[in-house]
Amino acid sequence: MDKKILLVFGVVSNIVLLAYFKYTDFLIENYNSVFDSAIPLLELALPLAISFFTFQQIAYLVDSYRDETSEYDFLNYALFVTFFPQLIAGPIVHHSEMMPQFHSRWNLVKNYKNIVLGLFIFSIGLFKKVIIADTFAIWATEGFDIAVSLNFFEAWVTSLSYTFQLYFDFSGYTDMAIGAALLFNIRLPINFNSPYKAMDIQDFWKRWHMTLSKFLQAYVYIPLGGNRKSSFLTYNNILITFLIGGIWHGAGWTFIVWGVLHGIAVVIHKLWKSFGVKMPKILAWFITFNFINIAWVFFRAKDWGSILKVLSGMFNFDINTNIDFYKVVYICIFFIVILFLKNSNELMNEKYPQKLILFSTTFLMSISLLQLTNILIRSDKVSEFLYFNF
Amino acid sequence: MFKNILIMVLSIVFALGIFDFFLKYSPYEYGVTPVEYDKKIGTWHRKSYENYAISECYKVKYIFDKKGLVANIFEHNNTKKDVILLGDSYVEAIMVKNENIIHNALARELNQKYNFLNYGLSDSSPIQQFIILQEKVNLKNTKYVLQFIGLENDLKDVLYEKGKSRRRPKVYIDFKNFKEYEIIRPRNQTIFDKAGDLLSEYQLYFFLKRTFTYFKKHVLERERSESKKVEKKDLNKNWMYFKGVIYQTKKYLKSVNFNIEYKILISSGNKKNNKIMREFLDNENIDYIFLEDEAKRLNKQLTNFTCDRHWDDQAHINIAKIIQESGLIK
Repeated sequence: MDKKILLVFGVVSNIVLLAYFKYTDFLIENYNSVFDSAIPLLELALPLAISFFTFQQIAYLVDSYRDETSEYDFLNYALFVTFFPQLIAGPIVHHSEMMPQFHSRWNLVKNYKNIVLGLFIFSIGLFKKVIIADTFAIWATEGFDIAVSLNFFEAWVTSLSYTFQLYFDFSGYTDMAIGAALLFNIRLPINFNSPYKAMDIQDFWKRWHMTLSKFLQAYVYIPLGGNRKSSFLTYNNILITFLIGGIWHGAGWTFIVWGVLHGIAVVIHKLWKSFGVKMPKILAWFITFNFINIAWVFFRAKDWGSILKVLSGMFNFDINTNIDFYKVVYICIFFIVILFLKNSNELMNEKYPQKLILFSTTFLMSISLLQLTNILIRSDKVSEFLYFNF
Repeated sequence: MFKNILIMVLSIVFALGIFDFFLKYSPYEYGVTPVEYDKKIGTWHRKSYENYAISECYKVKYIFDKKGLVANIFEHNNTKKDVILLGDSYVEAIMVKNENIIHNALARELNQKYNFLNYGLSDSSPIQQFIILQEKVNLKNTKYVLQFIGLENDLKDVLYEKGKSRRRPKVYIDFKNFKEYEIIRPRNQTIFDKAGDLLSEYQLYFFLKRTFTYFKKHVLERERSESKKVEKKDLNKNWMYFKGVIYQTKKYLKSVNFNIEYKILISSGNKKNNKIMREFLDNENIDYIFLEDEAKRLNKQLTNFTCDRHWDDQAHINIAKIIQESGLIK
């Protein structure tokens, strides 16, 4: 059979499955509202991690078509798609970096160095999730989902809380995935590199969910033509890529708007660069961070009403409102953490004394397990990772 | 090896310390106990004290005055008579905004006609409330005593069982029969009680207590529900104690000769218990209302917090209105 037909069949099958499970209700809702009909929603349960393994499978199919794959062992392929540490929320792994590791006999040997390092990184991730992200989650939820209106201070606390929650939640998960994989001598690619230190929006996408950026670049942006043709087409390709990125994150107009906003920001950044004007670093960081923070409002809000509530609060410069200093202190502390401290990848590559690693791992693991118990006994429910939804 | 174990132990101790600090300065704060040891009652509110009652659905500042009463928003006026409120945590209501708690809502509703004094104490039954009346309340200036009864709870709590130890000492009354009784004063504070009080300054203490309760609820649930069934079967002794203490309260209020009116407000969802209660109070000529019935009649809601069973702010305001509209206080 023609290779191209096989490729098209494989890619379309993957996309159709993803579309069916993830986007059918979104389409029905829009159809109902445009044509005033009442087609019932399917309310399908989303297969675990479908957004992630769909991308990984498409990458493998495309690269097979291009003769860029070398490993064809079915067991290794199945392991590559379903490798449990990263299955649910990434990093999105590429066959070229994973399958050789599964194949290597060296990786079948117990490696205590990797086990120690794995536990260390895993404990950092767990700490980020249950201590930091879940604390900010309370304030984000209060502002987005519970409050009827927000004043200037509350709106900024809400948006910044979500900005921190998302980073610590998602990067926490990634650290746990990297740590768990290391126990099996498997090195997963890094997914975050201090994204909130970014000086421009392109820089941000080189630091945030790096494996998704790489995938979109390799399998969407470049096949669309990348920057090989006119500026207009380049900008067009950027917008389409970010639109797909937005839709991938969730079936909703708010995700689409979030994707388009980032696409527009990248286009503006490219235009700015073409003028050759340099901006002071602090101003560049300030603009970038605030754009990201505002765009997350679209990403988080459940409806347009919530977006309006948070944004109108943020830009209602009535500073005569009560300030909850305790939340401000938290936000200031974590600004320092994200801007000035080493990230987990940097910590992983440092050579610390073993005793310090033992102390830190035990400390982080103990405090995280205490907090996990605390969350459990308070709410009788499990706190999920945000990216499980995507 | 020994060094590594020592490092791990030190690390865990350090984690416990930091976790306590984290709990205190995070939205996960548990709060601090609002009560202290009292020789006559067992426990009583800390005097001139304020802190926060914290749960999933509220974080509210509570205030106790210099006598340990739930604070009033209105100044005490010596030219006006007092109305005494007795009850458990539903009346103490540290989770309700102070201005909305029944006594303050009543003062507003009745245009401060009386001084409304809230002697509510959590984990108290009519037994402890009877002693509070004797030991804490100045009855000389009192016009009304309003006692709030949560029937199902209070029936359970009135019973004194010898040898049944509780962490916090409590005054009890042992009834030989309906009219003969003996007051059993709270035991002295043991070193464990003192240690408990000291530890209760720490968040970790409440965290561990909650963890233990959670474990008990989820792991020992079967035993719990079985013991509940046994409790339901035999309430005769409970009724004897319950009726005994209500009778003694009435008798005591009469004996002081200050012309005090004793009124009971009952909250109950059990028809059988309500019937027994009604017959008893009618026989004893004690004025009473059933709060749920009155609320229904006057078209008022008695809503609870979403995260616990206590009345919320609106319920407290509505109860004040019910008391006023039903003419319980004139």
